[in-house]
Amino acid sequence: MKRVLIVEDQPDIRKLIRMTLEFEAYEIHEADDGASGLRMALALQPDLVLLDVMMPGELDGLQVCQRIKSDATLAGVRVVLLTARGQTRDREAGQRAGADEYLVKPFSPLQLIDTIERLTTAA
Amino acid sequence: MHTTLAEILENLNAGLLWVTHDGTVRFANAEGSLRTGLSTGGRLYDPDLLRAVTAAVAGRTTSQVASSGRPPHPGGPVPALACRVVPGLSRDDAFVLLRDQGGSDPGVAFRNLMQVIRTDLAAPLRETQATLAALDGVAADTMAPLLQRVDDMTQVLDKLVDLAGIWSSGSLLANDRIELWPLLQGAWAELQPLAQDRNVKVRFRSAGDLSNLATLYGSENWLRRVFLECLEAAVRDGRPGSTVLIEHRQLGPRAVIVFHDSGVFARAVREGVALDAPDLATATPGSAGRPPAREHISLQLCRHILSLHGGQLREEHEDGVRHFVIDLPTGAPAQTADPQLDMAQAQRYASDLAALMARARRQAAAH
Repeated sequence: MKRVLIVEDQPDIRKLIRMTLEFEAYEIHEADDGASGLRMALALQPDLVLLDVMMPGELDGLQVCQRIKSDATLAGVRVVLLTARGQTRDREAGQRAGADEYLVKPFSPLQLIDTIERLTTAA
Repeated sequence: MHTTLAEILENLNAGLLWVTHDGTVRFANAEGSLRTGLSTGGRLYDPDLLRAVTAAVAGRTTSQVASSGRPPHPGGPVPALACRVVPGLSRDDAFVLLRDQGGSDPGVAFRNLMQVIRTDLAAPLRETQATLAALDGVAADTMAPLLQRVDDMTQVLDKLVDLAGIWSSGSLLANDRIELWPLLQGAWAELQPLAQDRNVKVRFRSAGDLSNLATLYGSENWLRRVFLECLEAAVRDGRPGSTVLIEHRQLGPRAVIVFHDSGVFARAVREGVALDAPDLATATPGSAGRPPAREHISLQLCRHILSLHGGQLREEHEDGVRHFVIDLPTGAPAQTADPQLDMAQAQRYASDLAALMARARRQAAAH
């Protein structure tokens, strides 16, 4: 069973993502800020991290993504950024941070599942 | 007087007297006349109020004065008035804002004044600055002192217009993703010529990696302005040959920037612009070494910008040493929980729900 870590500060969005993923067979974990998301990623070694960009605290999603991608122990972890920030420069910032995919809120749950399936199958 | 200005002043909820330095009334709105019995050409009768006006004109400071008004009818009780005296629009006048003692909306007149500044000063200021730029170098020797004074004045007005522009609005705030270190570096680069002129150095220090500090979200332009204003104040206050130490600390979800043992806005704070006051504070008139208007306005501007970002300015004292502190939340501000986005996301979920269920059924059947 593929392991997915949701890092999202807004409980309602987190719940919707979980409900979406529960249609498929995923082992789901949740974190509500960047720092705890990074800690959980290191501990859980998930197949994929769904990462909100704008989160309160020391680390935002882009910084968590950069750290995941630069950590050799997390080399196989795929990262999908989920964000309300859909401008070109935001997408470019996501690319620079090393994200594998960038979905803009409100995202389609079907698209989300397709994206996760594609990335975890390819891994 | 500009008809728009007259209209605005007339429609203030508070009574208003616009007076010259000697207390002569240039303009009184209807409410002001009703409360005081004064009209254009009349003269302030309360010596305390007159002193406050003189101080406001001389020192560009604000103050509160308890005064008495005109009885509603002969022999009636004399009403007590709370008067707020603020510097006027030119160098020799002031506004007196009047309301009954215990009035409940002290901010309306001030907000109206800000509106006047926004609408009437911005364009002439831009024109003056353009003219000054064109004059620069043309008559350098003879005109230099005059141009310097005009330049100083336009800088003060520029800050005032910015303050008025941002005062009543949170909508000016952008939602930029801001990297703190490049922002600080950019502001410092802009201030370096001034620092070199004054022979003041600045040293930055951080417990973490300066190039990888926590990010901020908000308006990059306005936060840059805060750092510029604070750095400028630190450089102007620094002794020649001194070094200002600026330290970054990450305290949980907050970035704290400490100007160590620095005089940033110290005089303005000493003069009564309390850092934690919710409104423009009163200032003590008549004291020596009064800070320039520039410092008062800069402090207010910084305080307001930071409050719109969920941050604050404060002083910290350590072993008799005064530190000046900028405190800002890092990461997305807490208020970014967006009900509209939540709703839109829920709608997307609902519209995909049938397809998700059908897909799950197909996969179950396939297994």
